Amino acid sequence: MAGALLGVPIVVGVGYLVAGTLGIVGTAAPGGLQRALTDGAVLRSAALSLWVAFAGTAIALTGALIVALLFGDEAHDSRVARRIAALPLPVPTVAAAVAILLLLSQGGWLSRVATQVQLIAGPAEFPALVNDPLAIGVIVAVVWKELPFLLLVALSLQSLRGAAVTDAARTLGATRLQVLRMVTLPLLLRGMAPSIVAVFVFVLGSLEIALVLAPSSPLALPLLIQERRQALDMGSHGEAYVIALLATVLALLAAATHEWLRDDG
Amino acid sequence: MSVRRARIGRGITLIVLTLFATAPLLLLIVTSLARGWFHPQVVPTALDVSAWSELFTDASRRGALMNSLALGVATACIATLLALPLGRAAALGTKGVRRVVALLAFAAVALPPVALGIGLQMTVLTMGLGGSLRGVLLAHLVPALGYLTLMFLGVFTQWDSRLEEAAATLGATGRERWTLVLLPLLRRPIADALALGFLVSWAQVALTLLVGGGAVRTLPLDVLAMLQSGQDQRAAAGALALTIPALVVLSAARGAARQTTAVVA
Amino acid sequence: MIAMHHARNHAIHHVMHHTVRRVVVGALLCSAIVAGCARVAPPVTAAQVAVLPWDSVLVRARGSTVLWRMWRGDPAVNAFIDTWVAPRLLSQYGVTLQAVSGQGNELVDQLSVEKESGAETGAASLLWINGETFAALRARGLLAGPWSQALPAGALVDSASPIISRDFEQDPAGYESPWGTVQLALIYDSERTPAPPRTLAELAAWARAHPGRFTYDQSFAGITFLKGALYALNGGVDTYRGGFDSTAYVAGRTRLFAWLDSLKPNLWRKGTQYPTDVAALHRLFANGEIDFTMSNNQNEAVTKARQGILPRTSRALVLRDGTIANAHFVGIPFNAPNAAGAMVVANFLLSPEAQLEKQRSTVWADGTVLGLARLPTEWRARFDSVVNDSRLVPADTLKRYARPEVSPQYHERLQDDWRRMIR
Repeated sequence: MAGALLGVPIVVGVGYLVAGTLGIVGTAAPGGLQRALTDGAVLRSAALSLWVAFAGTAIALTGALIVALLFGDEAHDSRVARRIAALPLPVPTVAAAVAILLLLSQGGWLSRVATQVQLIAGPAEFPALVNDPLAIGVIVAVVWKELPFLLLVALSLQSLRGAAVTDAARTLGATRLQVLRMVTLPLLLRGMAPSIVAVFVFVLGSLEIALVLAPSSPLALPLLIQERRQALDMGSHGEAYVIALLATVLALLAAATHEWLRDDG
Repeated sequence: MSVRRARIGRGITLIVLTLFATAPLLLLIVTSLARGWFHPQVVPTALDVSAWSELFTDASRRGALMNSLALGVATACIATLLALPLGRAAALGTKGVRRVVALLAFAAVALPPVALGIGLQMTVLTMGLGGSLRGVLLAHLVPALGYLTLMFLGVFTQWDSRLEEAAATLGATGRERWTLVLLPLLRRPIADALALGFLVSWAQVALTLLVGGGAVRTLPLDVLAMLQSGQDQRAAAGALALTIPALVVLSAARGAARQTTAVVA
Repeated sequence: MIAMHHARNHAIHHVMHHTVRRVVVGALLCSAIVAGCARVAPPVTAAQVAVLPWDSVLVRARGSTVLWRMWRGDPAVNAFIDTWVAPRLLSQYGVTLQAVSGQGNELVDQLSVEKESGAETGAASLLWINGETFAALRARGLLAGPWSQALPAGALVDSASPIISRDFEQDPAGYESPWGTVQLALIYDSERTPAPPRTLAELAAWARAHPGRFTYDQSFAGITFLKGALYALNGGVDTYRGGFDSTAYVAGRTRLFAWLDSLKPNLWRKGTQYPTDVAALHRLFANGEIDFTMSNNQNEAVTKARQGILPRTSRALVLRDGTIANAHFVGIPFNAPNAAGAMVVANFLLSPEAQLEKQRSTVWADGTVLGLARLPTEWRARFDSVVNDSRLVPADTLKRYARPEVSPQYHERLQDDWRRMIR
């Protein structure tokens, strides 16, 4: 059945990772799993990638909610706002990363403006927003790309759920703020939960943003995996498989969470 | 108090939103036309369209473009062909079957591309497809199938099967039900699926890089190479060229996003 | 008994005669079939081709195709291969050259898989390799050879040079043939930095005076720079000759890393971030974010300026403590389908015409492997005129400060330890 076609490559791909980890394929030394989990570089990479995913998703979500709540009605400027907010949607991730680099790097456009208005004297004085250990540039790119997506989800949820519940709450005497806090937001977040998980997982595994904007130390997780895989010695290959397997397990856990949330909601 | 403040708040948010959404895109456009544009020039001093014309005249640029197009079209067609019956079978099946298929499909999407890439890399090499277009196509099909299966699962879950049943009671054969009832009704979802499948392959970086082993050059990889070697003008032109087909299928992609959102939400 | 013996012999002889006849007939039939289906027979290995007279090698190569897996990251190199080398190979030798991307670990991976799966013929007949890639391929038995001793143009190679006769201290032993040399140089902007530092000590002082304006990359060029510093800070390259010595390495590394630690606060981004590769380093330099870049090929100061990637006022310098020079080679994989064609290509690359063209700063500016003393006088003059560019380091200066590579293990260990301890 066609279902096998979906399952086979995943099984093969993951199977190879497992085999590489266990040392069946390649010459990964035994105890690789343990070593990977205690390797400082791996932990720092995981921490960086998790930080980026959390911060990026949270900020994108906040922005999407603000736009959805402020501009969710049918007023003319609201429709314009929604169109504008959706502009980044079709832009491929790598193109978005390029654009953010050109904008935020120390030799980039904002830095040049700052130099012209004499806020700074040279590129080195502009704050390091890309290739920096806080991965600010990465987070900005993530927010730029994911805010429109989350906004779309929020808007479709709003139109689906309708105004019935909020109207009911208002007639019961709740203030606008109370309605917002107790009714609208919880409903929205509940409905958006699977999408939020999807965004989180996507950001965690994205290579292209990391290639352009991420720091060299600590290395983002996808970059670490790639670096170890491309080394000439087989020991590093084994490490790459292990780390990739760990990342996969995390992603599969998220997939399960996503399924559970979807059912629940 | 608040009407004026609210309006000012809305206004500020709208301005910030517009700047945020459009600045990176505008910068890409200007950079793609700017020759020798270095710090601290805020406005380019020389403009030309060489980076754009090179996309068609330069052999390596054109080759990358052709590869991307070929991969995109092939992925779109094959993935749609496979995902449609798969999604339908799953939607009509038991709850357990639906869950498993949805989980597998989401896993295909959630799996970090780097992990899947290095998992598939040696497999593809062993199959003799290492560094070939066909090998990369196989890799692209995995996330494409995932997205499209999710999409069709959503379509067929909300499907109104009464039309089919009516046709059946009127004596239509299986094939007639498909050609006269189902396919015409599915025209929009199929178009959405083709668009989404194309975009998944078109924008792919990690899988092409790892499974293609550097031998298969696609447009996103070309953009990265240009950026990393400091050729900003060419990188920007490539990034915009990458965005244009996505813009063209924007309405289709939006429709697909809404479908996927309906499943995902 | 003798009669029986005799009879037995006769019988054996009779049987053998028939057997021999059958074998001969069979062999004739087989070769007829084989001649008809040439792909069925396993390819002739490079070692077998190497013992043939050169004329028959040329005959075998005529009309064939050679797939060359090489580094395709530089458009200037690609243009040289695609628009100068390939047409001449076709017109002079009837060999069709196809150059595709492939280097380093990709080659090792692909060939390893092909060997494990028992593939008799691969796709590539020629590979661009050196250093650790050569070591890895040799260790796994993925290269064919020996063959390079059969090349007629090999007589012109400057085999006295330690940089060409040894590849990261390994003896090519006929398994690879040299085709170019490069030397690491720092590149600076003569307008921004009219009086650049010329030794490591001066560089450290300069960095203190101009904090944040110097850095090095994480890839090949950066590690080569560090290796040069390793030699300079530890009594010269002789400390590390003669194979990998772990004790000597650790002692040297300690001193090098101590020097790097003292340099760190004055580096770009205070030494907490490093550009991924030399192209990223060029980018920072061109954008004015740092004042130095470097390259494994000193001539990039000219060639990249022509491409518009580096400023026109870029100049190259070699540190007086010595910088590393190395050669790049071509090898033939164990399962090459066209060893004869590959050897013809390798030989052509060694020809004075090709070496001269390659060295032009308008083309690639890659150093020659030929011993100029072995060439006729008019060739020597032509080579001399090509390297006379005031923006480049003069040839004798280059030579004076050139240091050879040592065992590839030093490179690997240094890269690993740098990533773990410094980055």
